[in-house]
Amino acid sequence: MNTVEIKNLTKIFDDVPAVDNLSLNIKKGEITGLIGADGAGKTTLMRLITGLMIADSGEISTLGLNPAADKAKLNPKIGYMPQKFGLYEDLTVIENLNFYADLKNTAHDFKKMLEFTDLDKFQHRLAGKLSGGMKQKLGLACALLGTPDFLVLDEPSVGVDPISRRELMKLVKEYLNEGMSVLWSTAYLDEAHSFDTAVVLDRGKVIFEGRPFSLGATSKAFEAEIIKLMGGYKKEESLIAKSVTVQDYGLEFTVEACNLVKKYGDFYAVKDNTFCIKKGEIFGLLGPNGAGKSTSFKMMCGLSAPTQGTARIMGTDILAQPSKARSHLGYMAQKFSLYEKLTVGQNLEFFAGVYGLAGKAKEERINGSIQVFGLEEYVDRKSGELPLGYKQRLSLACALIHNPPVLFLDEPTSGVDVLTRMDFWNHITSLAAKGVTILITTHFMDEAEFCDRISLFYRGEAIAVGTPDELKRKAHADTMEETFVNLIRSQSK
Amino acid sequence: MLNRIAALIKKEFLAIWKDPRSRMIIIVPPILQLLIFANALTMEMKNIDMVVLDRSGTVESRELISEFDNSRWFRKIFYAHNEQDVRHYIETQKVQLALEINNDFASGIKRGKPVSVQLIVDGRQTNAAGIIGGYASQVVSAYSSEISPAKGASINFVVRNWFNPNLEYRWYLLCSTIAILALVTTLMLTALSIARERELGTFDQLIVSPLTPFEILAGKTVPPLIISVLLTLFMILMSIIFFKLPFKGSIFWLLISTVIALFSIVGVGLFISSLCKTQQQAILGAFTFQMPAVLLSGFISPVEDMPALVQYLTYANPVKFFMIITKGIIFKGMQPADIISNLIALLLIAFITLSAAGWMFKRKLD
Repeated sequence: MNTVEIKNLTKIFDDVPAVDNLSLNIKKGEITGLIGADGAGKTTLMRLITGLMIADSGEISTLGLNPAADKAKLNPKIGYMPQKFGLYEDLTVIENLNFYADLKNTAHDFKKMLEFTDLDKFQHRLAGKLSGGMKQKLGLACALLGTPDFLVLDEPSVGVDPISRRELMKLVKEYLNEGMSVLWSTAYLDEAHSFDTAVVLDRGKVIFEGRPFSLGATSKAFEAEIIKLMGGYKKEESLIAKSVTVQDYGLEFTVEACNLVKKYGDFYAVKDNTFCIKKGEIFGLLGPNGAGKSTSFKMMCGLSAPTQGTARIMGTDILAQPSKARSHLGYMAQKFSLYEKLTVGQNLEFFAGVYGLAGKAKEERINGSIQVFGLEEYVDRKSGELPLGYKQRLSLACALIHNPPVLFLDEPTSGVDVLTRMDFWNHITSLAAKGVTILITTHFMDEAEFCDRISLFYRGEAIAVGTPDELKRKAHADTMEETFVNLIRSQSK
Repeated sequence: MLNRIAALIKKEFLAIWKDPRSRMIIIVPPILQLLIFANALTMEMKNIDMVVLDRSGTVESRELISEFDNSRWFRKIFYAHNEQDVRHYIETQKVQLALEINNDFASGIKRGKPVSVQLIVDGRQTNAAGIIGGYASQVVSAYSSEISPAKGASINFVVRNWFNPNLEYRWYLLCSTIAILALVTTLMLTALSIARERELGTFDQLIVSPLTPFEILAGKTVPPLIISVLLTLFMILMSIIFFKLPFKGSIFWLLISTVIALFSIVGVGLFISSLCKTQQQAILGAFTFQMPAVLLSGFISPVEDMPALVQYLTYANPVKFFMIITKGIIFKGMQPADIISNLIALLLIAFITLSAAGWMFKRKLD
């Protein structure tokens, strides 16, 4: 018997089908990967399967039950971990576990669970103080309480580094032996390649279902095939880069970090970090969660004051002359952080004004941006209502509105589909070619390959700096992911 | 710099206007509350019901009772037969006052000897009890002087209420309510503004831009200030037109004072907002300030009656100064010198809170 059987399922939100006439079977005792970009319908499908949402039409049977009608019977058999798992951040690890065990009416026996998740030592730490990877492990542990027959994980690996991702996967596989079925959704194609079955969703439809190896022998080949299935990607000249002109300031190093230190009490979040980025270079900050790359990034753009050391942009100290330094800087935050209630045009106008553009120059620049970024259709739409890919474009447009020579990007591509990511990187590499200096953080190891140089962070220190090829050689690895894992393992020994 | 501030101000206006909740905050509650409070809240006592235990049962006692009946404060008079009855009437809150007349009442008066009557007031409503007691004493003493015409010299006193000749409670209430509503609206608008941006992540975006903390503060101050000044002036205008509030002072000084008073409240709101990470914290923070600010403003009890320590505390309360000025200008045409001394206090509050908010931006970087 299959764990889940779905026939002609449809769910429509505001005239847009989130799940579109979908039929699918999920096999018992396997890990099934649900792959797709934000908005492809992954979460909706999972909520329909678990009975948290009711379909407009079609049939679902989960563990032989109808999730809409028999939700009460189904609940104890399912372990569901939503995207933002409801951990109580003000409770400790053990208090969270106790609470969820009470909810599920199971014994308070967490010994095995704590050992598995390596959370043994952190039992009495507040959940809010755990790193991203550890939070996800705790969330998973809570979902596994009461040994459910069917585990449903909604993007457990978002914002989690490759090492923690592997650990999560290991944890889930341990439980598979006991006959559990798993549905795991993800935006990472390389992750999908390691599942028993991959189901690729695009705009509410299944575009691929089967063994990932049958589509491509390696994760690279698998990705290439998926891109073909999504309609293929054609590299075109980047209009965005074309519209940018970078003034020559006669500086060799446009971004410099000199002996940056960040201390919280006795704890060093960043220890004596120094790097210099050349004009037109793409410099990537990589590292596990909590290793200090975000803190370094924040210090570079002046969002966090370093305990010691200085950060300079275009030769200007970001703390001594913040306004001048920042006028050279374009910044794109991790999550979409423009004004959602304002329209696309109003957002552009605001940022143009904030960066000191006025009058005719401002108008020309805004109109130019709208054209180059292909936002004509959306000018009068509220930015919060845009599809994710367009939100990202608008963020980039706002970051580039003042023609900055330096661009800082904080995990710009999380949650975006492969095609949009490839398009985005096309723009980034073209911008760098025009002489824009780029500092970027990312969790996608394949993206790290696009960087000219990488700084790998571990426990507050940059343990390796170099080109992707140099790092690969150093780690005796073929892929960036392996490089990452090898270098960090060798360091922690 | 002006360009950048202008861009920020424009955005703030758009953000307030496009958010249906903010739009609600600034229009509906203030006007609705003004109408309701002005009509519903009153500390005047009219229509008082009372019970009488007349053990005398004579012409004299009936005369005293009819004095009560004929006064404008008392509505209904019940007659009790014994003490239990009286107790029952008061306990069930059917009446607020009881009058007991002893059986030696008439004989005492006839012999020209002093006699006593007992007044019992329901002390559960402390404030009302005091007022009712006062009215009742007035009635009794009026009757007393009627039956014992003055032998020789006596002092008659005549009371004149300045600035509010008929002691129209509504006027007092309107002035206070306008100040309180202006406080609530301004505080909510500003307290939410930075906290909302922090919560949505847009505040980082502002910090990373070339905007200086001063520019951010200026951009965050002007829009709520303009909105709340317009709202306050509108409420005053409504009070003058619909509730015949007398306006004695100068419009010029009223305008200046309103702007400065609200400026200081904006300062407090932005300071609260700069401390908060989420909108929820900001709302709690605003409430924490709001309650004591209203209670210690002199609205409920005069500041002069508070303990000395608390009186010093009220120097940090913009609402207190705001109420002094609005009442002063509207009722008695307060003199510029007096106005200015109050405005200096408000400007000081604004200066301190806004500097603190600007300083918090820098500190909160981490």
